[in-house]
Amino acid sequence: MYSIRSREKQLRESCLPPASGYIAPAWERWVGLGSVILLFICMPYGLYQLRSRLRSNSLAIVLAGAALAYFPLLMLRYAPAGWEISNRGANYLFIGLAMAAGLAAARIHAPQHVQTPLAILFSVYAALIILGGIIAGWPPDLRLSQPYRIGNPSQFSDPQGVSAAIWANTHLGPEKRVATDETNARLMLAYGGQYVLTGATGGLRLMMLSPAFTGSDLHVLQAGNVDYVVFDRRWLSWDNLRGVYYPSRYPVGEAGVGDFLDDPVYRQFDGLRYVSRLLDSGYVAIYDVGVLSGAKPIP
Amino acid sequence: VRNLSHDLILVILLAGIALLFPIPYPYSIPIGLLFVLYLPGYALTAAVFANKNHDLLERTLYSLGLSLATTVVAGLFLHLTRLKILAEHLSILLGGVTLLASVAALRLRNQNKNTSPSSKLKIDFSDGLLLAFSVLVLTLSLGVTQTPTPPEGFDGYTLLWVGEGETGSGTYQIGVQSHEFSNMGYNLRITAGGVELAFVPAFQLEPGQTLVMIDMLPGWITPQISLEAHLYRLDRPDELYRQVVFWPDG
Repeated sequence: MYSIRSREKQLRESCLPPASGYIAPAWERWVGLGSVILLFICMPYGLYQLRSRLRSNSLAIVLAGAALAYFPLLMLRYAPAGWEISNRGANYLFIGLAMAAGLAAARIHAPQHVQTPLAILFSVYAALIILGGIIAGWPPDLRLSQPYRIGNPSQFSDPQGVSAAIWANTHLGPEKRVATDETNARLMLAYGGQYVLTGATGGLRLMMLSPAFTGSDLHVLQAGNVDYVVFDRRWLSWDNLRGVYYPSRYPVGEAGVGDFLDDPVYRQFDGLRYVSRLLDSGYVAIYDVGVLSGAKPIP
Repeated sequence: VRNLSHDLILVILLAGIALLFPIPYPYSIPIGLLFVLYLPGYALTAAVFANKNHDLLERTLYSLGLSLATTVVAGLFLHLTRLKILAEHLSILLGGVTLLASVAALRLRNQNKNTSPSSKLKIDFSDGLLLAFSVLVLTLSLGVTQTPTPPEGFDGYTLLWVGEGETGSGTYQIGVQSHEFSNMGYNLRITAGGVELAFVPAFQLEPGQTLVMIDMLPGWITPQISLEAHLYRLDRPDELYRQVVFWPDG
């Protein structure tokens, strides 16, 4: 785990913007950690109850397996590449853990005079688990949805990536091989009907974030047989959770390092012979790199 | 075939249509949703639980869950086999699974004539109330999601594009599409090899409006010369707003 964490950290530092600097308030960290600890404490008793009473029930056994897998899956959150698996998978495994926790709570035999305080205690316990799940599952700025569609009901505007993807579908046609960031990959797939290439696989992220177009970048394009490259100037576009929303206006003078890719990165295909810059929407630009990748002949 | 198997015959017919005929847009949307969310699970449930009589609510729940699981597994299969995850491939897989499971279910149901699918929906008053409340919340949520955020604090944008003209080789196309929040004025300059080909002064676009120009490429343009289009806003005439480059044979 330490090895994974170190390797991912190096990769992240070399390819992604500096961290936002956000540190969760102490109460959030305690609630998040506390909910996991509370679940961990009650799980053994719940599993014991399950073994005693439901050992012949195949569904209960499957759910017990899910409960056991829940905590190891949480460890994947320490690896950026595994964060998404952990975040998505934990939802399903929690069903098993919830059954174990429920069985543990249901089988506690308390005297009559402590039942009311116990009910209050379990209400707090359940609230802590729910709050902890929300805190652990979502970053603070995404716990409520961000603006996506701007304007008025009769005339509105969607994010630039959506317009670029619709344009690509109409003008380039579907099923083209498009290299892009994490956010625009999803938009190009959903709205553009394109075959998208994204992420770190095959050196794509390094190619897209390098400050100049080099020979190794050429190999990446050729290996992926890339037809088009879609650039988004915003660093946020590499974050598929935040990048999809409509960006707020930056106050004058406050947008700077950390918000946008450096100009040499964003413009690495400008000036290359036979590479057309087909679309410019401000943040998003689409380049035809077919000649570089070999998908099109050199004129 | 008994009357009680009409449901499976309908599923088989739908699967056959999905497998044999390309379904045009937008009819592909409801059919696609049926195959992703319901039909494979319905057919599999009917086959796996052929000797059990689930009520409508249970069958709907099983159908939804199993259909989603089947779709996920189908996607994984296409990825692992290096086949593209395309709508056509998914429809063949999901349609195939649905067809096979439906045929198996039909045979099993005919062998086991004592079981028949229940079409009764057992919902008591409190469940109905909860369901109605869920539908109300869902409707309100959809309304909220469709309501745009007021434009204060946001910047609109304009698309500028270039490409080969629609009428074929030897022409080029320049497009400007406004996604600004109010009327916007522009200047457009088109050059090739440092020579100005066209200048479109002071034109206005309303939000959502598009201007498309198609023109002949000059005869002197060779593959070594690129065509460039520069867009300026009238309220900021010295600042380049958008820029595109087109290599006619590139």
